[in-house]
Amino acid sequence: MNALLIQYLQKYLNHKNVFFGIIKKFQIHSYKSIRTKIIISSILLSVFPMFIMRVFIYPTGKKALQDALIQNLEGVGHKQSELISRWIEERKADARIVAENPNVPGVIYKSEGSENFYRLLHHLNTLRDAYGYKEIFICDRLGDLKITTSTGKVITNVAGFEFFQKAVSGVTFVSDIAPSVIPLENEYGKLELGMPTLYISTPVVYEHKVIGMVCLRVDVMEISKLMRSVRLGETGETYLINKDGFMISESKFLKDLKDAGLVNQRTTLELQVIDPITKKLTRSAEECIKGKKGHDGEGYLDYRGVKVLGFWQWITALEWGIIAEIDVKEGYGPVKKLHMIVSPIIFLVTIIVISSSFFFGKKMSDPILYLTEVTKSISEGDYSKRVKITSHDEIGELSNSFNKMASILEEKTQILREYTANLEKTVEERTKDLVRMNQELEKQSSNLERAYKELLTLDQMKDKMIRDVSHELKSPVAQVQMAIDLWSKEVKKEYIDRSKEEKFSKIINDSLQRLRKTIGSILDLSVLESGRMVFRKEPIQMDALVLQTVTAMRLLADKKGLALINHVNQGLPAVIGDKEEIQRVITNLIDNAIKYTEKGEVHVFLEQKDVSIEFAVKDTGVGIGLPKEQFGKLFERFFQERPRVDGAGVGLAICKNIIEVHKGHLWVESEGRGKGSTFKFTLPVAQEGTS
Amino acid sequence: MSRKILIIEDEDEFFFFYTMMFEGTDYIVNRALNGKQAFEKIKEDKPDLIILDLLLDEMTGDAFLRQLKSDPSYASIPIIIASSFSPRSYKTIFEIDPALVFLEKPFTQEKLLASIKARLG
Repeated sequence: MNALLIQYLQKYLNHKNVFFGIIKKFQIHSYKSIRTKIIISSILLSVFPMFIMRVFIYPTGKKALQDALIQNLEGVGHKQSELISRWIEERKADARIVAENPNVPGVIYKSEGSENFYRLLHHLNTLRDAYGYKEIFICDRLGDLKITTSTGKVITNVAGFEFFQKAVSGVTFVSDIAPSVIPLENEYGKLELGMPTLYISTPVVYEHKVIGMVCLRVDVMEISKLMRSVRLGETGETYLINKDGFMISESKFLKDLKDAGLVNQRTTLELQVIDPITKKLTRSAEECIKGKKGHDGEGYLDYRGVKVLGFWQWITALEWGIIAEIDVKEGYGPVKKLHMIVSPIIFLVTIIVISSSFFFGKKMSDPILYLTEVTKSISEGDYSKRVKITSHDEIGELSNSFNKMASILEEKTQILREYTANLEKTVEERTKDLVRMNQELEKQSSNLERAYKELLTLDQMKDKMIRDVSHELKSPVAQVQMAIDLWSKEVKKEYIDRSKEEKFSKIINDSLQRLRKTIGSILDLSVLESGRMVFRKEPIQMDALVLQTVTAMRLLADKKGLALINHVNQGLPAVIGDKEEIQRVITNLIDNAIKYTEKGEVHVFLEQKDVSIEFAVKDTGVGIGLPKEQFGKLFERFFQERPRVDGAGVGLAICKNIIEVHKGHLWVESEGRGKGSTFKFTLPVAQEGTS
Repeated sequence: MSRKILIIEDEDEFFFFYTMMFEGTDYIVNRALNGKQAFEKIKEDKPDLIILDLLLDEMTGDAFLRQLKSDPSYASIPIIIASSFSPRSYKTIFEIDPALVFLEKPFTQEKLLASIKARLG
């Protein structure tokens, strides 16, 4: 079982692979592809009519056929029902005719052997043979048999039978078809017990009294003959059933049923009309027994297990049901046949349409795809690509236009490329220029900024200088003023503290000295700077001058505990200048060195350097806190690195001025604050011949 | 109760004048030569008033003032500026302490004591 399943699955998978292979071959990658669109719309357009036919037209045709079939079955059913009713009525009439025979009362009252008896027997035999009755017999009021056409075994008293009781009660009666209680001759000429029999009985009335009964035993096969008198195609039949659902006529398919072992001799009373699968009464039999009339056009299983269409009706007077049925296969045969013819055609047409959809879809979309491919190449930069389509339709025209466009594009692109290259070169050059300009501008800007900063600094310095100088002038004045104020107060006191007098006197003196010095320096400088100052031009022996000055200054150095050390080279050539002014410079420089040195030494050097005499004062004092590039500021007028200590700040400015007038050079060297400083100046050696 | 006054003054002459002027008053006078020394003295013994010269060697008067005012524990000490400059050239100093009194040198004893009194009440 499992192996079989696996085999089927493999088969399915193989088919699936083949299908996908086909799809792949036709490149149906996406529903967006134009080829796919063409193929799908072609398939839809062709399959749509078939779909409409299958869904709407086919069922409508089937319904019409079904209606016709049912109508036919119903007609047959009705006809058969009428036929059987009339036939039974005729049999009843036969019975009544016999009952009214004038010989009957005589036979009932008199016994066998009379003339009446034989005349009646002859009549009955004639009647039996003419209408095919199995037996005609007459009984008296007690049920005792008086005359019969039968020559075989007979029932001598029928008082227990229903047909007798009904007849003597005055009614013409048709019995059920029931098995015989005595062996009777069957359709094969043999005696058989339980043969299906139908009795029709009627009372014999003589002088307004029921004196007996006439009974006809009907050949049930006659009913079957009636049933089969109407043809209903190959498989159509009508049959009768009794209220227990047993068939009371012969089935058209008796032979098959016998072969299948469902019946022995006949279907009458042997075959119950049941569905062989559900073992229940068939739909028609069940509905019929309920006394209903109806039909089924969709089909149900009959007693053979075959799907049939059916009509059924209950004949109330006889308590029989009549059923007309035909195999669905035959009923819908024409439709099936049509279907059998049409389906392959539709299938074939579908296959052809789908194949041609693929074929034409491919044929139509291939040039477009090709164009797309080429367009893609061009868009990616390959302008040399051209389309090779030579067809004379719109695609061909499109290809030509496309090629023309591509040529123009290639040409234009080339021009553009050249232009761009030129442009790039130009832009590059311009950029370089711009960068250069920008750098220059930046440089200028930074220069400007520096200049501006310098200006700002200069401005601030100017403010500071003015403040410092004014302080240097105002402070001694204030001291003098306050000293005088306080002393004048002091002298008003009764007791005058003379020690204070001394102090006040000193303060006033010092202040005035300071003031005089400051004012003098400022005046000197202003005269020097104005150029109105007249210098003497005399030979100066620098070694002698320096030694003289150092000796004079030694006292000041000793006072502060500093060593003033002399390194003066002797016998140096003379310089030309104003001896007094040069001495002023030397004094000022040594004075500063002592002033700014708290401990250590002050060294004084004098030596010849090339054509110059170089003087230097080196101390171990406070040094210079300024950056080296700002050392020049020290020689600017009113500059005070440390106000209060520095005085008016004109001393070094005066020195520089004097040295420069003598064509010399004055500068300072220092390693920073606290590291001492060396002030140096040079003066040119006097040229021979000058004095 | 005697009030403590810290005088920050580097010129001996002026300090001599201060001692003369405070003679006979009950102010207790202390001296600092520069800003750095002044902070040490303030930390040691917080004065009730400070008299400050603007030109100091180690630290300028306004720098000292700024530092003092930024310290919450000393910001409230009243300040008198005593300088030979005119207050016109030192306007920015009032931005640091709008309440300070500017005493231009030379000043008289009366003026000094009146200024102190105005600040201390």
